[in-house]
Amino acid sequence: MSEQTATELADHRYVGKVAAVTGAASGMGRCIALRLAAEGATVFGMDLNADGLDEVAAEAADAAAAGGAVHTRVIDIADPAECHAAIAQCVARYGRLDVLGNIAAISWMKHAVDVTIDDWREMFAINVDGTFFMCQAALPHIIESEGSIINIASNAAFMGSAYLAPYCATKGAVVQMTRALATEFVKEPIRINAIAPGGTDTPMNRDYQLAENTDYKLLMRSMAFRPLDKPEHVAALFAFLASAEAANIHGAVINADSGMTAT
Amino acid sequence: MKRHNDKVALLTGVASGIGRATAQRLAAEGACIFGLDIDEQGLAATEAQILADGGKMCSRVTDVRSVDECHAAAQACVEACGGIDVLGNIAGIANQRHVHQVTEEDWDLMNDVNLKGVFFLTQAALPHIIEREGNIINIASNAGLMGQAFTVPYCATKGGVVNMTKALAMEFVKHPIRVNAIAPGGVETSLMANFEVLEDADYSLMARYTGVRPPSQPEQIASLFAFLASDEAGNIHGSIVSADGGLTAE
Ligand SMILES: NC(=O)c1ccc[n+]([C@@H]2O[C@H](COP(=O)([O-])OP(=O)(O)OC[C@H]3O[C@@H](n4cnc5c(N)ncnc54)[C@H](O)[C@@H]3O)[C@@H](O)[C@H]2O)c1
Ligand SMILES: NC(=O)c1ccc[n+]([C@@H]2O[C@H](COP(=O)([O-])OP(=O)(O)OC[C@H]3O[C@@H](n4cnc5c(N)ncnc54)[C@H](O)[C@@H]3O)[C@@H](O)[C@H]2O)c1
Repeated sequence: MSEQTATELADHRYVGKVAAVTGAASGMGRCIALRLAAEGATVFGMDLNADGLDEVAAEAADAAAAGGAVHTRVIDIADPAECHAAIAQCVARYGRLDVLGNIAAISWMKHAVDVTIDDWREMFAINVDGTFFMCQAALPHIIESEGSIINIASNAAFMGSAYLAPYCATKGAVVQMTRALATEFVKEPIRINAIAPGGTDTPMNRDYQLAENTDYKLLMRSMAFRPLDKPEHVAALFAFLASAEAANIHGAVINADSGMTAT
Repeated sequence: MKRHNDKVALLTGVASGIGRATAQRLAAEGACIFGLDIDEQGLAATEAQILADGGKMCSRVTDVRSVDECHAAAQACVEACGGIDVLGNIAGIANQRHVHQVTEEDWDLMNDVNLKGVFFLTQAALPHIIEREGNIINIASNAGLMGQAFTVPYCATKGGVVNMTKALAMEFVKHPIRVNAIAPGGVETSLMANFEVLEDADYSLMARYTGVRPPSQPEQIASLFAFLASDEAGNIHGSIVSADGGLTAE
């Protein structure tokens, strides 16, 4: 693998574009925000984690040469009203919205019998409600700019993994939501797609706690053969997919998981 | 972007359509193209264009239906260019038939070009791809992912390409290579222009595989190919990437 940085590779495909990105404080969302900014985008980064957002905004200072920047807003995407307010603020400030990236999510492992109703509802509120209401709020603006939406799903949408029933269910929902929206808006000049990453080296993956009494044989069935992916690869795919280079890709769910879902 | 500087791309079907556009795109990004096709004239035209644009290309007339020709072509590529970084199995044929009209000859031709050719060129190229830590991209089709009336043999071959891609990805998951497929929807090429619709086709069934959006341009498939074949796509392995304007989302 060559060690070119995102900036060297960047083709400045996002000069003059505005991208709203959730989960921008950490992991993939952070890399995506920095990559788009390096290619010239004005990024509106949203997250629950205020400190993380400040760090990303500071890191993006390098992107100024390309005309890019990361601006931020603290938000809980589990609240549909906040989703609408954040998108409205983004458009009011930066005049347009070309790209929406729904990246924020939570994940944990538990035996199905131990999952409480509050656990279940919280995961759906963030992973599913947050993604849907962000799309709903952004769609009129994306149509106006002829832009695109990318939702981050997961290999978990395609593999039934033990101890991950709620997470798998939310990511399956993100996949089907993406496809249904793509069909509903097929006559509009916009594109709606999803990326389904596999195990990726981010705080989410590093912080996984195994469920008590995990059956390792079952766990191994959903383990990758290749090492953890780099979040920069997800960012590179995102930057390609949201650009004019991917003009005929609509309603697609792109697996980027080093072969996890090939089996 | 010059993501393919000094890479060697062995591509089939480069005399026309998606193959030609892909050869042009990779050459523009710095790759040396070793182009194969059964159509000698079209192949020469692609080569002349690429050379005129300042790119690098060699070509070899090859019928991918022949196992010997596939192996000889891969060998010739290695001798001429020193190795293989990218294999693109792009050549393919398509037609419409009612099931009862399909002859053994029809069936064998479709299988030999679309499936057998892909497998044996892959077999020939694999050791070289592993040596260079390169990658393989097969061109499947939306027809490999959905059931389409009046194209049963074509659907069978493209479904075969889809699952061949995944099986190869698993067999070589411990090797430093990537194997993926692109599943285009309708693309404006000579394949589409020459596609003869059955006189008595039931249009309500055909409508299910006719996109709402206009067909893609071959250059759009080429831009996806160029991304997927580059190091930027280092975590994409065993994937079938649809590029069909929303057709398979329905
Ligand atoms: N890391 C992996 O192995 C992996 C694999 C497949 C899919 N994914 C998906 O990739 C996406 C990014 O995950 P990551 O690995 O970068 O994780 P991460 O934990 O590093 O980042 C997720 C971010 O989302 C934010 N967030 C969580 N809840 C929020 C809320 N209610 N409102 C606003 N922000 C909130 C967090 O603060 C965090 O900054 C997620 O959708 C995840 O499900 C991750
Ligand atoms: N055009 C579409 O709508 C469409 C849609 C989905 C998938 N595809 C696939 O894309 C690929 C490229 O098709 P295209 O649309 O560019 O078609 P095309 O007809 O323009 O090009 C196909 C090329 O393959 C070559 N070829 C055919 N038989 C061969 C053989 N035996 N040996 C070597 N070369 C041979 C042809 O000479 C031609 O140059 C095919 O695999 C096709 O199935 C096309």
